[in-house]
Amino acid sequence: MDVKPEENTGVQVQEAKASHADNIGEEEHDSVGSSRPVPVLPPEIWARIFEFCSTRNDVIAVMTTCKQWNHLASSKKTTVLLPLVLPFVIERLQKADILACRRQRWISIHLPDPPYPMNFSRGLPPTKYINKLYAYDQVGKFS
Amino acid sequence: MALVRVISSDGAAFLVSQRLAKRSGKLKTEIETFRKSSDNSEAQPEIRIVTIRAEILRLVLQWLQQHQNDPVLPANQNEQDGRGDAEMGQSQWDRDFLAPMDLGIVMELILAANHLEVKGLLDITCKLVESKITGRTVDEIRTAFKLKSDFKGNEEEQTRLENRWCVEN
Repeated sequence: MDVKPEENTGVQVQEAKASHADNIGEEEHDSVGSSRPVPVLPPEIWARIFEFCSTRNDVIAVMTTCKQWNHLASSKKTTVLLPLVLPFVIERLQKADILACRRQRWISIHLPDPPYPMNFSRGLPPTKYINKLYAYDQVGKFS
Repeated sequence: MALVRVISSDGAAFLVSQRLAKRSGKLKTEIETFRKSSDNSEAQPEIRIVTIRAEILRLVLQWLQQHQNDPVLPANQNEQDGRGDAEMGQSQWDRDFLAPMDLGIVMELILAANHLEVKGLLDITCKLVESKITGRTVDEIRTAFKLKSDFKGNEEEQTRLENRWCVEN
């Protein structure tokens, strides 16, 4: 087949097989196949796709589909649930407690070995959690 | 017009202007590598894409051709939330372009756009796949994507129960 680059398009099939159209602009959409198996996408692409899921139900459906999707969409679950949970947090927690939580977060990042057991707060309501946190001397130094 | 020869995995060759080819990050790198290694500055680069077949490569080039005058999006744009500008950048042409494709072709197009580093195409195809998930039940999603549940024992039921409280009715 002769090479005849088209003006204004910049693209031309040079050696197309018999089933291919000669020009990209003349692509036949009807010929796009339908019986091929669905290709396997790598996890990072699925994660990118799941970022577009914007409703809770969609994220939960994705998480219930298979183990890999469950793992990939779990961080997205936090994002879609945050607007649901945040008004209750603001309503129920005192501002001082919220600030104390922030300080606790700062401590957990900057202290490699916290002076309290990691699971000491399990099951505690937020106010009791903060009070118990204050009980540790090491934390008091950051007051 | 400087041209580059792009060859698909099944041997079909596409003659493309270098200006157009450079809108793909991968092709741009390949062309620049060829230029550095070649003594003849007039030589025509030849790039073999071993992972993309002709039908898909043609679609990628067709999309690039249509969007050749669009601003090039940096690869890490909106990287923080992982999303691109799919809603913003999707034109009627894009919708007509993607409409007749089945899911398998769209997913091959995603792999090709990812490999060739064509961010705009990657965004709109990812958005299209997401639209196949939106509003569907778990069983419908599994059927559409030909997936099987690999949860063991009561793991699936446990996941449902854990998330039951946040499902919208």
